Amino acid sequence: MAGPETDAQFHFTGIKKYFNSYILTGRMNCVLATYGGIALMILYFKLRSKKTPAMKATLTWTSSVKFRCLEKLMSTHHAILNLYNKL
Amino acid sequence: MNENLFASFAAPSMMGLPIVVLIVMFPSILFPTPNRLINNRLISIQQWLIQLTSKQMLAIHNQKGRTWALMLMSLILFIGSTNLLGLLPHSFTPTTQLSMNLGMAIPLWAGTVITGFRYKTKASLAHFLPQGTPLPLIPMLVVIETISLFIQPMALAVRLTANITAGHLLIHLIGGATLALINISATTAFITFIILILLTILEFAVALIQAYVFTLLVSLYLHDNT
Repeated sequence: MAGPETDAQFHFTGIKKYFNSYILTGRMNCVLATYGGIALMILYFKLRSKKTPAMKATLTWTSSVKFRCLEKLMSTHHAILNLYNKL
Repeated sequence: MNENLFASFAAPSMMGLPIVVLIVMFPSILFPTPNRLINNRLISIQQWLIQLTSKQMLAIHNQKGRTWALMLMSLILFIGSTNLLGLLPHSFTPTTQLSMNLGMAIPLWAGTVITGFRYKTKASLAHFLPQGTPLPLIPMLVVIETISLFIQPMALAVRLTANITAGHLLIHLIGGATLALINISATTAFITFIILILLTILEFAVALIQAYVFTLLVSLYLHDNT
């Protein structure tokens, strides 16, 4: 059974001292690193943007001031045309 | 026939009121309380049986694990007596209900796991990685061990439910077959009746074994975490 008395026989150096599958601390750190990695992957996929570059460009253009001015100009033009046709 | 097969597993009610709570509480009145130093024969036998079971079950535990003695003994007595009472004709067996068994399994398993994480956090976390695992297999094995941990209460509940339900269904079916064969062929009906007798004896054994297995597994989960 693993424990402090059996852990004493292992002498690791470097990163293996903290991440190995022999001593209690090493096993715990490997488990926590695995859970951390899974959590990071889930966060990455949740937070990444779902829109394509073409959609992003369209949305940027449609939300810009230039587009809004053009839209207003077009609607004014249509209103004048309708008024003219009525007359 | 099909409707009658599962009718015995429906939650019983009397005059529209559910009586399943009374049925669950009923086995407790069958165990007399010892109130003298030297009791009568029945209570002495009961005490001897409980002592025998508790000695065998708690031998592997340390001081902390032995604080669960009352819980484990109550569990085995309750499941054993409920299973045995369910073998009486036309009776309702609460342990055929998955909801009941999950209600027993999940809190007991969670109790052992939380005890382990609270008092031996490092060892409980290290338990998810078997000693000596090769480096490339570590992430996969951690995931597999985590899944196997969460499967434990489900397996505990479903094992008891399936065993008791299957036994009751078999008795029902073979009993029905015996009755149907009486008018057709007496010899075949007799053979089927012998099978029914053997099956009933088996079900008595299964009733006690399943109670023991449930309690033993809870005891093992506790041992891993204390």
